[in-house]
Amino acid sequence: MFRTKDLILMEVIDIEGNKIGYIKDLIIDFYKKEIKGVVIFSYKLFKGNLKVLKEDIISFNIGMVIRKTTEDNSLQFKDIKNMDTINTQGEIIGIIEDILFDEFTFNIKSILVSSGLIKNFLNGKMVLLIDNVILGEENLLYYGENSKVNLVSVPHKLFTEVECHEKEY
Amino acid sequence: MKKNIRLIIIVLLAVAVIYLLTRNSVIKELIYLILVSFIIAYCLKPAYIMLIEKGFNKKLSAAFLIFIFFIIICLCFVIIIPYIFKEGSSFKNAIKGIQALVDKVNYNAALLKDNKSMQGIVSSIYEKVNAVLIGILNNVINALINIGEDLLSFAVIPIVAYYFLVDGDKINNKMLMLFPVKLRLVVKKISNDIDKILGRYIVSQFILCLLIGVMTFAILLLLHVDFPIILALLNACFNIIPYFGPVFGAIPAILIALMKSQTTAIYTVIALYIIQQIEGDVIAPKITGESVNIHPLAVILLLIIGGKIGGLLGMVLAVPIAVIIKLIYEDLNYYFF
Repeated sequence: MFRTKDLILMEVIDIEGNKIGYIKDLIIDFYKKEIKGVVIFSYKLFKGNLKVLKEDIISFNIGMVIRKTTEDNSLQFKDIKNMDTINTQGEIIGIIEDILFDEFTFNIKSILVSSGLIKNFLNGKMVLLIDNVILGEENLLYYGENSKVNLVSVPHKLFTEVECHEKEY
Repeated sequence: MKKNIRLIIIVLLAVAVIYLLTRNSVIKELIYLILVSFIIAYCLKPAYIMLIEKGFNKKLSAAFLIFIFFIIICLCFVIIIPYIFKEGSSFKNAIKGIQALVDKVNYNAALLKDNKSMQGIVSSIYEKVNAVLIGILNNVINALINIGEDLLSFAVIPIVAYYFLVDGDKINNKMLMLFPVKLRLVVKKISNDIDKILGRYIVSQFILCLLIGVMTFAILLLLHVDFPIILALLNACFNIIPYFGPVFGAIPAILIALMKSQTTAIYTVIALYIIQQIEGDVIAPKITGESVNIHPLAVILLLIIGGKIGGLLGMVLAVPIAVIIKLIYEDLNYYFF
C-alpha cells in the first residue's frame, strides 16, 4: 500500500534517459477512485509543471521512467489535503492527511484522516474506506460511521516499518 | 519493568556524559572544527558529485574542489584588504562625503526647526550609528584575530573537509552504527530525505547569490558607482538571508551612490529593487523549486530568533536548521502511523 510520500520527490526520467524532474504531486480522480497520474516539477527553465498520466508510467522503483507528458488540469492532491472531514451529523472529525492506494493498479483504497496530535496518539489516525466517503467542494463527507468495523492506524513501533502485526509483551 | 529501569539509567548516564564532555573546551573546539569542515564539505558535495559523474578520479576531484575553495578564500583576503588600503584615501573621502551629507541634512533641518533640539537629536543619532559601526568593525576584527590564533585548526579544516568529501559515505555508514539496529532503516530514510531537500536548497541559494552578485556588479558599473566589486560581493553575501538580506546588502550601495549624486542614488535604488523583483518572482521559484515550503511569516520569526541567538551567522543558519527540523517532524509523523 502506497502513500503520497512514497511517490513525492521521486526522480523522473524518460525512455531516452534524460532527467525530466521530480514528482511534486498526484492527480486524483475521485469518481473512478484512482490516482490518474503525477505532477512533475521540471528541471528545465521554462517548462513549469508537467503532468504524466498513469498509462504513460513505464515503471518505478527508486526513480520513475515515463513515456511522455501530457496536459491535464484535474484535481491534485494538494487541493484536498488538509480539507475538513465531516460525518453525517455535520461534526468535523478530522482533516485529510494522506491517501492510501494500491501500488500496482493505482486504485485508491482509503483516506487517512488525522484528528489532532494528542488524539492521534491516543486513538490513532482514522482510515476511511473510499467507498464510505464523498468528496465535496469544501469538505469530505464520511457516512460510514454506523458500520460495525472502524479502521484506525495507531502509533506502532517506529522500528518495524512495513508490516506491523507483531505486538510485544 | 527492570529492563525499563536499566534503559532509563543508561540513557541518563549517556546524557550526563555528553553534557560534561561538551563543557570541556578542547572538545568544544574539536566539535566546532568538525562542524565547520562538515558544512564546507556538504556545500561542495553537489559540485563533487557532478565532477564524479563526468568521470574524474574521486580523490583528485575532491582535492581539486577543496583547493579551489580555499584559493578563493585566500584570494578574497589577499585582494580585498590591499584594495581597501589602496582605495583608503578615497575611502576616507567616502566617509567624509557621508559626513558632509549628514551635516547638510542637519543644516537644512536646522533651518526649519529649533536649532538646539534638532542638533541634539541628530548628534545623538550620529553617535549611536558611530558606536554601532565601531562595534561591528570590532567584532569582525576580533573574529579575524581569533581565526588567526587557531592557525593550527585553520590548516586542519581543509584536510578534514577533504576527507568528508571523499569518504563521506563511509563515515555515514559508521555513524549509522551508533543507532540501534531496528532504528537504522528509518534513520537512513530520514537522512536521505533531508539530504535531497537540503542539498537542493543550498545549491539554489548559491546560484541565486551568484546571480545577484553579477547583476549588482553590472548595474553598479553602469551607474559609475565607486567600489562596485565590494558592493556587489556584499550584496551577494547578504542575499543568503531570505527577506532582510537584500535590504542589508543594498544599504551600503545606496550610501556610496548617494555621495556621487542624488540622481545616481535614486537610480541605484530603483535598479536594485528591480533586480530583487526579478530574482524573487522569476528566477527563485524556478531554482528553489517548491520543495521547501515554509510560510514567510514563519521565516521572518525564525530569522529574528536566529539573529538574537547567533547574530549574522544565526540568521544564515536559521532557515536550513528549520528545514531539517520540519523534515524530521514530517517523517516521524509518517513513520509513526
